Order: sequence, then structure tokens, then C-alpha cells
Amino acid sequence: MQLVEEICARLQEAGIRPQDIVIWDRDSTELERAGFRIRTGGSQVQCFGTDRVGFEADLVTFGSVGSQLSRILTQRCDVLINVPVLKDHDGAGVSIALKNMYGAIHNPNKYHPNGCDPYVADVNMLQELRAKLRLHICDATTACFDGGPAFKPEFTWRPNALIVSEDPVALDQIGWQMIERKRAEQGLKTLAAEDRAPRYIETAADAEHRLGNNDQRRIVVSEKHVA
Amino acid sequence: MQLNGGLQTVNRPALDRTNPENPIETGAAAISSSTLSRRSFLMCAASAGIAGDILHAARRSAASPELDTPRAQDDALFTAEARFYQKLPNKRIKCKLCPRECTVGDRERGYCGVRENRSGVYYTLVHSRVCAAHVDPVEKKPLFHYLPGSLAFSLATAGCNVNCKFCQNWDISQARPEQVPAEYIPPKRVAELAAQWHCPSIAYTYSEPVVFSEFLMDAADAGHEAGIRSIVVSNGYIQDDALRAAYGKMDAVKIDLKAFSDSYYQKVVTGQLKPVLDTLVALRKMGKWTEIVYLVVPTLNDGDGEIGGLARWVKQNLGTDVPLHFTQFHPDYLLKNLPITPVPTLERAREIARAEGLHFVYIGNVPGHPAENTYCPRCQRVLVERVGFEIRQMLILKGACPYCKETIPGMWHA
Repeated sequence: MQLVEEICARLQEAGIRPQDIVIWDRDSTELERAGFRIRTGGSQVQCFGTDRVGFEADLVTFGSVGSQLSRILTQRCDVLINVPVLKDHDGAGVSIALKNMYGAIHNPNKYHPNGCDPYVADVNMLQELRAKLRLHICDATTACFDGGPAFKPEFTWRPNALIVSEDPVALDQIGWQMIERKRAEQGLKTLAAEDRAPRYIETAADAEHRLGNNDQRRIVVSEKHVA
Repeated sequence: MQLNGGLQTVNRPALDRTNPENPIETGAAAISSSTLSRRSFLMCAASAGIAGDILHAARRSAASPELDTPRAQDDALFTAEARFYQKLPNKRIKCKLCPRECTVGDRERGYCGVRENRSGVYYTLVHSRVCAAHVDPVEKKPLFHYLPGSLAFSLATAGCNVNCKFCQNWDISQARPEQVPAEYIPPKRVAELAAQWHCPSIAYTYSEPVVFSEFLMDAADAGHEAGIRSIVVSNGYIQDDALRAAYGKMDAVKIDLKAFSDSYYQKVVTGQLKPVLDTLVALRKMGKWTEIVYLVVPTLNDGDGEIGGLARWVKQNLGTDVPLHFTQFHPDYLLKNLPITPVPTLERAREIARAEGLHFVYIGNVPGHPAENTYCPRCQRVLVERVGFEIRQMLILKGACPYCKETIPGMWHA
């Protein structure tokens, strides 16, 4: 929540009116559970879930996916800043930037089979999402290396990091490796050994999707330490 | 489930408000008590639905919550512990309702979207959460050998355990319950409404009743206590224990057998063929009156070999008396690139099935086609004449042909 508040403050410093900023997710209750206060109307930063405004009536499709999009995305947003949390996911392997977009569609439960592959990549190809997504800021201050996606304190650690990228595939690739390193440190099997490697990351980078780059040799990680 | 041809499509409550003839709109689930002729009733049955106050939640004109805060549905009202699941370590569960066997982590939902793990306890979120309710002719299900000409109080909740690319009710079947306007209609109220509308049966239909099995079971019990039967329209994609517990309470069953190939089930349905065939065999052994619908989709499941294989399987495993309906596909949802099934294709499928020895093979979604009628398998005379959902003649007497006395299988009289 602090990270989101800081992002909102910097956006306002850049000249964006607070009422033009919307903090949103699938459900208002989930936002409140995360500590956000629901705010609608007035001249403040807005905060509410798709439950308050619903989904578009029309389906949008790509590949294996046919979904209705949040009307917050379609009607309130020109630009989307994605703020995922770095975490393990029992079905998908990891849930970071790419899978976070499941929060923008009406039927995410339909896209969990087969480790969410190719569904995660296909969701990110939906035109409205692809056109508006500009930046991904992953909250890795506290991260989850096992037992996700639900928060379980015994499976968390504190990397105290933010992972920032315009390329969600590269971000997910780097985040995945961070989780694997932590798992190894904890004596856990690799995600591949548990048959839940996040294959959708490679799919997102393939010729059909071209959502970004998952080749670690071509990903430049620039680390900045902040006191 | 498959609902096609517009004939079984649930009417969207929010869109039918403008119909002044719609007499069974409700507010707080109180259905109007207008007296209707059968003709006007059938007309309105095609356009009616639970509506009333829920319209406001469904009609959102702008993505502005200050202008339009939806009425919150009381989640607790609809939440009950699921009956078919297994607890796993770390607050995870394995759903044992359908063959998918979703393993669901804490705070997550299964594939159907209507069952949620809360701290290691699995809950249905759709008990008594009715998002569509209509009074339909039983022929609309279709059930042709079950109380012909009778009405069924038909209801649905959100959710489905498959994702058919041709689904005509995808806006409720593929939605989470909180995304669909709904009313609280508990089992006893369902039975009361059925009685009020002179329906001898309650029908669980439109979306996929497998996913609201707990509600179905309780409503069936309430109905039976009030002398009202229960019928279900289902994809049959259910585990054996759940089948026996839930559909064991049904008086008749219609199963959508969507194809006779597993690749179709995988690609078009997102399911598997074998569990559905197992369901059909189990229902037969349970003595449940069962009819089968096969939606014929051009180029995808209409090959002669596939139809012949289906008919042989039915004959060998279920017998020759099981009604088999070949119904016409209409493009919708994710399958808009294919044409309406040509009538000759349906006729060819029917001929193949009849040539294999099946006695009661129908063509559906083609109103006025002679293959909507029931013919005596011995003397070939028309016994039940149908046009669409309307019964023009019903000649079966005491379960037999009045001409040659051949027994006609089915439940013909209340």
C-alpha cells in the first residue's frame, strides 16, 4: 500500500490530477483487506474495485481467451501502471506482472488449467490491455517463495526490492529466478521439479505473442541500492 | 451446458424489461400472479425472467461508482459448505464434485468460479442464489418423453464446470456469482413458486447444475415434499458419488452429449468425453429417465463416422429406447465463425442413428420439422405431434401406442 501511495504522489508531482488516478483491483473488499480505503468521487485519488462498475458487455478474444474487461480499464484508464507482488503460485508457478492481469478480466478461474499456459500470455495480448500497459513496478519488499498465492508468513522473505520494467516478460523471468534462488536456499525443489514451472513466461515471449524478452542473456538488470 | 438455437437460451433479465407482456418479472423473488392463457404464457415464457430491482445492478451506463453503486449481494446468504471435497495440507482442498478435481488454495476458487476455499473449508457461493428463473414448457429442455405439455419452473445460478465455445448462456455460465444479478430464493420458496405457477416440475438448467448441486439437492427435497418433481439439464460432467447423491434425487435427466470424440471435448468444451459416457451409463443403471441432446456443430462433430459411433454406443450401453435429439447449432460466444447447422445435416444424423436401431431420434431447434414428433416404433404412426414447444396432439394412452399397443417408454402422465 505504501508503494502505491508513493506512486500516486509521484504521478501528482508529474502533473496528474489526483481525481484522474485510480487505484483498482478486481474487488473492493480485497482492496480494503490490503489496507486501502475505498474512495469514489471528489478531488482525491480514486480507489475502488471492478465490482463497483462491472465489466464490459462485449467479449474480447485472443487465442485461447475470451473475456470481458473491467470497465475501469476500458473507461477510466488511458495508461496502466501494473503493481504486482512477487509471489509463488501453486498452479502457475509464479504470479508476478503477467499473471496480475487476471485481475482485469471477468473469468480468471477459467484460465488456471495447464499452469495458466497459454492463458496468461493470451490475456496480456488483449488489445486494450496491451495498448495501455506502460510500466510494471513489482513490489518485492516482502515476497513469497512457496505456498502462494495466499499470504503465508512462514513462506515469505524480505528482499526489500522493487523490480521495475517496461517489459513484463523480462520482469517475470527475473522474479521467477529470485524465487528459485530463495527456494534453493530453503532446500525446496525447483518449480520445474514440482511440475509447475511458469511455462507461460516463455509463451509470452514466443513469436505469436512477442510480449517481451525471456532470454536472460538479453536482460540487463540494473541494481540500484537506496539508503 | 449447451443451450442453442435460441430455444433454450436464458433470457437476460436486464434486457427484457421493456416487454410489457412480461408477467413474471419479480422483485425480491415475488412472481406476479397474473392469470395467463397457455398461449400468452408460452409467449411470455420466452421473454421472461427474474428482474425487478436487480435491473439497476445490471444496467451500468458508465464506469463511475459515484453515479452507480451496485446493490451489494449478501454473500453470507448464499454461502454453504460444499458437500463434495477433500481437505489437503496447508489449507488446500481437492474438489470432488466434477472430474476436473480442482486443487484449490486458500482464498482461491475452482474452475467453476462458484466454489471458494476459505481457510481450508470449501464453500459453494451459489446456494439459493438464483440468477435466472422462468416458467418453461418441458419441451424446451428438451424432454420429449416426460410429461409432455407440462411446465417446469426453471432456474439457474451462475457458473459452469466447462467452457463450451458455443455456449449461448455464457454471460451467466461463465461468470462469477457476484458478477450476475441474483435473488435469494431458498428451496422452500422454489417449491412454492413452482406450485404457484402450476408447474409439476422444477428444472435446474440454463447454466450448469453440477456446480450448484447442493442447492439442487435441497430444492429437490423441498419440491418432493410439496409433490413437485425435479428434472435436470446437465452436461453430465460429474463424479460418480456426486451424481448418485444429487441426480439421484431427480425424476428425469437430460444430458448434453456434446460430441463423441475426446478431442472435441478437450478443444471445444474444455472437458473430457469418458466421464460423460460414464454418467449416462450410471443414470441408466439408476433407473433415471434420461434423454440425450447432441448439438450438431458444422465441421466439428457432424461426421458420419462420429454420429454412427455415437448411435452404436447408445444402443450397446443404454438401449434403443433412449431419446436422442440432434439439435441445430447457432453461432454464438466464441464460435461465431461457423454457420447454422444445415437441416439436411441434422436429417442425415437422424437417419444414421435410426439405421443403427435407435427408436426415438429427434431433430431440435427446427420448429415444425416432422422429426419433432414422436412416432410409434412399431406402426410408425404419430403419437405426439409437436411444433416447437407446442404439443398439437398427445395420443399415448397408459404408456402405449393407441393403435398397436406398443409400449412407448417414458413418463407420459403425472
